[in-house]
Amino acid sequence: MSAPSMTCPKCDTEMNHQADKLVHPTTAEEAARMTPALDGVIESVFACPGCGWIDSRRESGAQAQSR
Amino acid sequence: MSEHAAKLMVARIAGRPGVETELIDVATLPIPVDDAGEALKDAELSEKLNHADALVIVSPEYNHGYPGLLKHVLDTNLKEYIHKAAGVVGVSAGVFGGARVIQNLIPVLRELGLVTIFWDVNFTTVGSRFDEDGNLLDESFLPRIDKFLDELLWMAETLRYGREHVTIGGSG
Repeated sequence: MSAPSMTCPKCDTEMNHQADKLVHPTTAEEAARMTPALDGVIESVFACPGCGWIDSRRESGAQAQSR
Repeated sequence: MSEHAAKLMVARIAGRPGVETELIDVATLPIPVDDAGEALKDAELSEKLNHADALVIVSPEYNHGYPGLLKHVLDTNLKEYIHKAAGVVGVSAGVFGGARVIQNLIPVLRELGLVTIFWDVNFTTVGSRFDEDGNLLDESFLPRIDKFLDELLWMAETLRYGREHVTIGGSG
């Protein structure tokens, strides 16, 4: 199941959820949000079919586990 | 001498139809060294990386590894690299042509989300390959560079389609 959608900040096109990248915590805040089963935080990465722009957001542990 | 190799690569890439390219010299970037990672992100560099479909990394080899500054700069971005093509050009004064820096750099590029191609370029004994003005003295390197770029551009185009049209987990 894909992450909630994202709109391109450059051209308002709906972006494609192209990757879930595991990111290892580097701060205490990130460590607190870590998904233990994955040993990291999921960064959902989106690409715009309109202009190619890339954007991302880090998912909370609960969001990452439910997908 | 890596600068001569980098400028040659830029010229060869710029000669491909429909391709835009730019040389980014990590030594000139205003990135501090008192921290590490995305906390040091430089907006101008990130914008360029976001726009790019592929990276060609030209790296000298020091003590069998990559320069610390290169790793420091690479670590300042992440999303900008995901599912983009990358090729590595090794440069060394000796006969191995940066083969060991390429081997050591590829796992780093993989973790950054880049997709590495199976062609490399190795500038062996680089001190004798260019004149003082940076002109290539040995054209036997050109066919390998062209094969490297053929593969890189194929990967860049294919990955761009994938990034924009193929959803992760979409078949599940």
